Amino acid sequence: MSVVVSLAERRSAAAPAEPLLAIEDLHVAIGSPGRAAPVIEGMNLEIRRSEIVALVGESGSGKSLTALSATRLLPRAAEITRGRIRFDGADVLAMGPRALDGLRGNRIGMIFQQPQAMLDPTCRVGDQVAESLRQHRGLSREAAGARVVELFREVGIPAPEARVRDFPYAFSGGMAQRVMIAAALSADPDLLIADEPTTALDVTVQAQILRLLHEQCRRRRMSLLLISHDLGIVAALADRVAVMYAGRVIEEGPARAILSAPRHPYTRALIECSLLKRDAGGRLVALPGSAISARELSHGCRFQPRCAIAAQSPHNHDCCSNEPALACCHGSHKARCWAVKPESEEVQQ
Amino acid sequence: MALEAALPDAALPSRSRGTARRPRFARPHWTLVAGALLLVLVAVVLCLGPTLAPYDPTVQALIRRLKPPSEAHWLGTDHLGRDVLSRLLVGGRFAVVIAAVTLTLSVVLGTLIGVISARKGGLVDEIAMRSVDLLISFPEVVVAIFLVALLGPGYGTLILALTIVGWTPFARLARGLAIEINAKPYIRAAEILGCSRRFIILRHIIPNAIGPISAMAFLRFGHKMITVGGLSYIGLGIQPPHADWAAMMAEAQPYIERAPLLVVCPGLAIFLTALSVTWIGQGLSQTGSKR
Amino acid sequence: MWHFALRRGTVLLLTLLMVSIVAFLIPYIGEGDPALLVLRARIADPNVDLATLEAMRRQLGLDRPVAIQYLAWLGDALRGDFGLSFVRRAPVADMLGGALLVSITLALTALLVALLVSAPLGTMAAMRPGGRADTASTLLTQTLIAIPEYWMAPMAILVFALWLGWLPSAGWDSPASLVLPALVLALRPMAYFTRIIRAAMIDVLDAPYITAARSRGLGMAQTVMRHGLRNGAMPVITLFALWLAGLLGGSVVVEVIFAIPGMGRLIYEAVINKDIPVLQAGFVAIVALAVVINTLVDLAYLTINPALRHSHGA
Repeated sequence: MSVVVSLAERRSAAAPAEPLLAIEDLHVAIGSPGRAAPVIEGMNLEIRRSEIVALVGESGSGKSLTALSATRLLPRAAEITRGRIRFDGADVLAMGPRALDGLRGNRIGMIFQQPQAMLDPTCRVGDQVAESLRQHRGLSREAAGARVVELFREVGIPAPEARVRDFPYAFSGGMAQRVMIAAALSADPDLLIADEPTTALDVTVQAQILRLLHEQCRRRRMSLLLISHDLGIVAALADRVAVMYAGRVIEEGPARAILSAPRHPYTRALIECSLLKRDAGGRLVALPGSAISARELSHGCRFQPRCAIAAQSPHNHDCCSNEPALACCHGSHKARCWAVKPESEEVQQ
Repeated sequence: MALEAALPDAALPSRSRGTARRPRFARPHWTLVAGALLLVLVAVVLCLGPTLAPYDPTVQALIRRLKPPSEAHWLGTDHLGRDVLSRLLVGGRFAVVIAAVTLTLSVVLGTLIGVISARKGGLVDEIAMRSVDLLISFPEVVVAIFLVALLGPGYGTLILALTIVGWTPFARLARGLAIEINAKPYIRAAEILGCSRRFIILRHIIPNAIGPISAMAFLRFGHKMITVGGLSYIGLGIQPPHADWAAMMAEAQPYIERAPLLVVCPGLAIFLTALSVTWIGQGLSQTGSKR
Repeated sequence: MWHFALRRGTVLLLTLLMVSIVAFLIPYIGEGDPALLVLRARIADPNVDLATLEAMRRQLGLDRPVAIQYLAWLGDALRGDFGLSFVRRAPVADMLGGALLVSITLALTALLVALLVSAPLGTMAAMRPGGRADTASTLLTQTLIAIPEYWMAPMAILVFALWLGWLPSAGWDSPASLVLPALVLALRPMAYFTRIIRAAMIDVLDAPYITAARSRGLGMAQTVMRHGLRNGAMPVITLFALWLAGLLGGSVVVEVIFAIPGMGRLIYEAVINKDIPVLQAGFVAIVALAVVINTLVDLAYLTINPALRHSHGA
C-alpha cells in the first residue's frame, strides 16, 4: 500500500492548476551540428492531470519527436535547440542523467509502435517488465516477479504465471503491446505516452488495446498522450486533440469540437479523407500534394501550398508571406489560419 | 593483366550503373579516391618496372654485397650484390597477379554458388552453407601448405589453394544479398509486370548486389596478397631466382641488423599496395551504404 | 532444438568421415610410390630395399583391398595412433599434442590482446559514427589490415630484441618469448575486431529495445549491460572463433620466424620433409578443430538467442 501513499504525496506536490506536462516553444533539429535541419519549430502542448490528449498528424510532422523530447529520448541525430519542457513543475531540459532516469518509467511511461521490436529478444519478458519496479520501487527479484504476474493479469495476458518466463519471440504483436503496457504501467506513472500504439496491429486487436488503455487511464487517473495518425482512434479516446503539421500545432481544442467542427483546412481535409467522403463528381476526396517538412518553407503558412482556402481567399497575400498565429476561435478551440475568425465575428459574415 | 582489369572499377564511383535514383550528393568517400590514386601508382610501377629498373634484378655481384644506399644503388644492394631498387620495381608482380586471379575466381565461384544456393534452398542450400561454415574457418596458408605437399609449388597450386577457401565469404554474402533482394517488393512487382527472369537479374539483382560484393573483393585483396607473400616468405610460393617482395624479405632476414633497409623497403611496398586496395574497398562500402 | 542438434551432429560426423578418407589417401595422391610412402609411414624407416618392400607389403597387408586398409588405419587413428614420424621417430600423436598446446596458447594470447585493445576502440568509434574517433580508428584498422606479419615480425625483432635487448628474438622457453609473436599476431585480428565491435555497437545502440529500456528508467550503462552486450556479442563471438580456428596452424609464418614449435611449423616441416604421418594427423586435427569450434559457436548462438532455439526446433 506504500505505493498508494507515495502516489498521493506526489500528486499533492504541485498546484492543481498547473498542467502535468507543458511543452513551450519547442524546437528540434536533426543532423550534424553544422547543418542541422529543423523538424519541430515552436511546438506548444499542455497535458493536464488525468486528461487524454491526442496528437494527430501525418508521418514526418514531428509527433513522435515531440513525444520523445518529453523524456529526452531523442535519437542521437536529433537535438532540442530551443524551448522549455516542464513536467509537474520541474524543468525537464535542465535535468541531469540521474533525474531523467528517475522521470522515465517512474513518472512517465512510454509505449511504442512496433511492440515486438521494443522487447530485447534475448531476455525473458517478465524480467524486462520487472526492470521498472526494481529500478524505481527497489523491489526484490521475487517481489517484482510477483507484481509482474499481477500486472500481466491486469493487462489481459492469459496464463500470466507461465508467460512471464517466455521470450519475446513467443508473443504476437497484440500480446507484445500488452507486455509493453504492463511495463509502462508497472511503476504507476502519472503520464503515459503512447506513440502510435496500435498502428502495427490488426484492427480487432487495435480495439482491444485501445480499450485497455482507456480503462487503465480512468482507473489510475493517469494522463495519456496518444500519438496517432488515425482520427477514428482519436475520436474514441481523446478529451482534447492537437493537430500537427510540418513541425507545429495548427489546431487544438476539445476532441468533440475539433472532430465535429474543424476550423483549419488541414484538419478538415484529414477528417474528410478518413471518412472517405466523395466530392460532387462522385470521386473520393483527397488532399492534393504531400506534406512538407519544417525545413522546406521559411515564410508564410506552412499549409498554404496545399490549401484550398488560400488559393481563393482575400487573405491570400497573408497566407504566402506571414505565418498565422494560433488564434482562439471558440473557448479553448484554437487554430492557426488567417481565415479563422473568433466565433462572433464569423457569425456576422 | 588482371590488375588492369581491376583498375577502371576503382577509378569510377561505385555502382555507377543502375543508380539513377541515387541522390547527387553521394560523392565517393575520400578513401576511395586516395586508394585509387595509390593503386594507379602501384600499377604503373608494376607495369613499367622492368623498364624503370636501373639494373638487371637477377645479376649478382658478390664484391658489392650488402652495400648501403649510394648514388649508383639508391637503396643499396642485397646479400648477393643485386640492386635492391631494381628488385623492388619488379618484385610485386607475382603476388599481385596471383591475388587478382584468385579473387576473380573466388568472386565468380562464390557469387554463383551463393545465388544458386539462395534460389534452390533445401538440401543444396544446406550442403553449400555447411561447406562454407567449415571452409571459412580454414586457414588459407595451411590449405596452401597441404596442396604444395601434394602437388608441389607453383602458380597453379597457389591459385587452387587460395580459391578453395577464398570463395566462401563471397558465397555467404551473395546468398544473403540474393535472399534479401529477392524478397524486395520491387522484384515481386517486376515479376507481376511480366519481366523476364534475365531482365530482373540484370536490371535489379546484379546492380544491387555488385556494390557490396566488389567492396568485399577489394577489402580481401590486401589479405590475399599478404597470404601469397607469406607463402613465398617460407619458401612455398615463388621460387628463388625471381624477385619477389616477400621472398626478398626472407632472404634479407639474416642480415637485418646490418642492412635493415633490405627488410623495410619490400615490406613497405607490400604494405602500400595492400593499403591502397583496402582503402578502395572501404570507400566502396561507405559510398554504397550511404544510399 | 534436439532435432537441430541431431542434424548438426550428423553433418559433423559425415564431415569427419570425409576428412579421414582424404587424410588416409594423402600418401596415394602425392608423387612417388604410394606403397613405399605408406610403408615408410608405418615403420618409420626411409631406407628400404626392394625385397623388404615386397615382404613388408605382404606382411602389412598392403595387398589387401584399400577399403580394408582404410578401416584398419581409421581404427588406429580413432585410438589416437597415427604412427611414428619419419623424421623424429616419435609417436605423431604426442608431437601433435605438444604443438597444439603451443599454438592454442599463442593464439589465445594474441586474440585476447586484440580484444582488449579493440573493445574500447570500437566502442569509442561507435559512440559518434563519422566523428573524429571513428575516423581515427578507421584509419588505424586499415593500416593494421595492410601490414604483413612477416614485415612486422622482423622489425619487432630488430627493435625489441636486437637493438633494445628487452625480449628474446626467438624460441619458446619463457613467458617473455611469448610477447613479441603474440603482439605481431594480434595486429590483424585487432583491426577486424575493432570493425565488428563498432558495427555491433552501432546496431545495438540504435536498437528499439534499447530506447524502450531507457524509457523504463534504466541508465545508459545499465541498459548496455543488460540488453546491449548480449545482443552485440554474437558477431564478436563468431569472429573470435573464426580467428581462433584460423590461427591454429594459420600462424605458420610467425611460428617459423620466431622458431615456435606450434602446429603451423609442425605441418610446414612435415611438408618440407615429406613426413606423411604428421601430415595426415595434422590435417585431421585442423579440420576437427574447425568443426568443433564451429559447433561451439552455433551452441553459443542458441544459448544467447532463444528465438533461434525456437525456429530450429520447429
